[in-house]
Amino acid sequence: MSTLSLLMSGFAQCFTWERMIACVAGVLVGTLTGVLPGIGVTGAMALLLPISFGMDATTALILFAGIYYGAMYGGSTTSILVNLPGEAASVVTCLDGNQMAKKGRAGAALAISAWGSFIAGTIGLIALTFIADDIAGLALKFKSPEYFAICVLGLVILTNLTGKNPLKSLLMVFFGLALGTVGMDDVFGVSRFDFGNMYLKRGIEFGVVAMAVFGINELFGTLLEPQDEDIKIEKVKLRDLYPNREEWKRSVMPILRGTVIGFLIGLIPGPAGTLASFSSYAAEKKVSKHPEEFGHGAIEGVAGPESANNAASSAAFVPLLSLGLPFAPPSALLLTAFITHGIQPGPTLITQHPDVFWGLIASMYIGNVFLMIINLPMVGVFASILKCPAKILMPIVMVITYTGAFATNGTTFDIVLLIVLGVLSYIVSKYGYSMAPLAVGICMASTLEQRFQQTMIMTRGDISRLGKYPIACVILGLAVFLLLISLLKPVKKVLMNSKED
Amino acid sequence: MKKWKLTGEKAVNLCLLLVSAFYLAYSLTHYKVGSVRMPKEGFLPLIIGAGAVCVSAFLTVQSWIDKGDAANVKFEISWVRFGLMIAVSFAYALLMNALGYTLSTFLFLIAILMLARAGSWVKVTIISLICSVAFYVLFKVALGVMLPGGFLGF
Repeated sequence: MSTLSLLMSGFAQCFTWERMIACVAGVLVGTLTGVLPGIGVTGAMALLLPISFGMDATTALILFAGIYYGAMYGGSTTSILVNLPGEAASVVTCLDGNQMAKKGRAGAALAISAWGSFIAGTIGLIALTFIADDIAGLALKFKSPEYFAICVLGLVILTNLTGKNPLKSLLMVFFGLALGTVGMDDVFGVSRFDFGNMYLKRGIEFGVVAMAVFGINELFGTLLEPQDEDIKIEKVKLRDLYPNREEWKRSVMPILRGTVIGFLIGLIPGPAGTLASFSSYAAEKKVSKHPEEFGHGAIEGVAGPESANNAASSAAFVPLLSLGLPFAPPSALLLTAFITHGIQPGPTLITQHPDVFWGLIASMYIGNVFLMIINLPMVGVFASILKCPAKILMPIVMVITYTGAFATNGTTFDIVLLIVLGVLSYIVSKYGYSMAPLAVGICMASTLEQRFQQTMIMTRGDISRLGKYPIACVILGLAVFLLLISLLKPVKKVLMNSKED
Repeated sequence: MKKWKLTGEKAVNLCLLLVSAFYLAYSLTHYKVGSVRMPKEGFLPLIIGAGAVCVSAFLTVQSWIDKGDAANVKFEISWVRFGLMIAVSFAYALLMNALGYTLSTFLFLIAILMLARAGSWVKVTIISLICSVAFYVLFKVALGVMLPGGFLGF
């Protein structure tokens, strides 16, 4: 069957009431998550994970995918109207989006942001539709050494791209891997690091960790630290929600460039949306005929980055669906959702579960349309939620988070674990330790161990036999090189400082 | 003498080093490592532990020798309120089974909203009552999540 006919079958699967409701709910929750500071997209997805147990796999994944790319759109609403990014990927939209709003062009900024997100998301999905299939076909030829090498490279790239200090990110990867070794392991059937606790024997749930480090962490920060009580929200009328001809003309190329930049960056491990939006902004400023306008309300500064982060969110599905490897916390959560519903994403996903794969892809097209139809007219509603004081909203979100943790396994132990990890991550993250590598590490621990063990069996423990797998050698060599580069700078600095002393 | 002052960053790095060392020591004493040819259950923990110890030791030394990148971090929070929020959260978790979800949520919300200085007792009580009932309906009735009933049954 051709790709198009398979996609059509995916659409046919999506058009059930349950799945349409899941899609709408996902994009609404995602937009809300993007609008509200205090709980990130991964935390929101983790919250809904236990609640999705009663749904079938395709419906649950449609819900989570909707949350993921819905959040990319929601973050731009607060960036433009309030100069407060709801998501890290929308930080750069504050620079010009809010300036446009102050000049009375909030509607145009929101509309361009929405259209840019829609066009980039759709193009990104088209690319995903065709690329995922090809990469999956290629990945079927990969054996354990290649997979192991890709895991290692992904983690090394992640340490270089997250946080300010690669060593701190590397340490968080190790801690994430360490947390992933708790409980009964899949390879040897031995319960590790349970300290005699029956709850730890089953391992630490990724959803609980995600809620702790991305949810509770942020909630404590919002509740305890001084906040700006006086939030000024720019008003937008429905009839103002369209740009003029000049603004459209200036937005077309930034949207297309942003799509390409975002999609390519989305394939790389790390905070794809954030990197993509910053890269797009820098690119637009460089090629613009009016660079002096950037920072003062340049429409290109909204169109490009918002397109880039949506394209990146589509591209982030490629390694997850084709290889079964998550290189960012939201992908890691999606992987957990797949496994919870008895599905292993990877090269065989398309052949073994075509209904899930094509249903998910089709739902993303539909979700993009819903984002446009629902969210633009409702922008005032979403913005008005911000008027609710954080002191009231955050405790409510806290209760939802604790309930989500309880719902994971039906025990209060998970709430205790959530609180402990949340408090520790709040303190540690203040000192420059990023939580994204920890989250990805905990998710990859099992895969890494399995692939490593299989690699050792295949090479009989002889490193020289790894030469039979040249792709794995090249990838591992690249990983070692990048690791050494990232270690070199801090080591050199310490040695120089100790010499001065 | 100034270099030997224990700052927040130094304390955090030291704690992470101690945790890494504990993980490594525990894995070496409780699990079989095996060999490169035939790794056992302790092999990956050995690599993780050793890696974590090395990196955290370097960061600890770095923060003691030189000003780390987080040397100027200051917590602008009330540690008392922070401690109370943590205590209230633990109490919520521990009392949920005995009191039931709705009652424990109601009490937790009152406590946490008061700690967050969200308003007067009356306002906080009304919000807590509405939210705790709404959450029960949402999670138990609408979403079918199994929640503890406690002595009230809900």
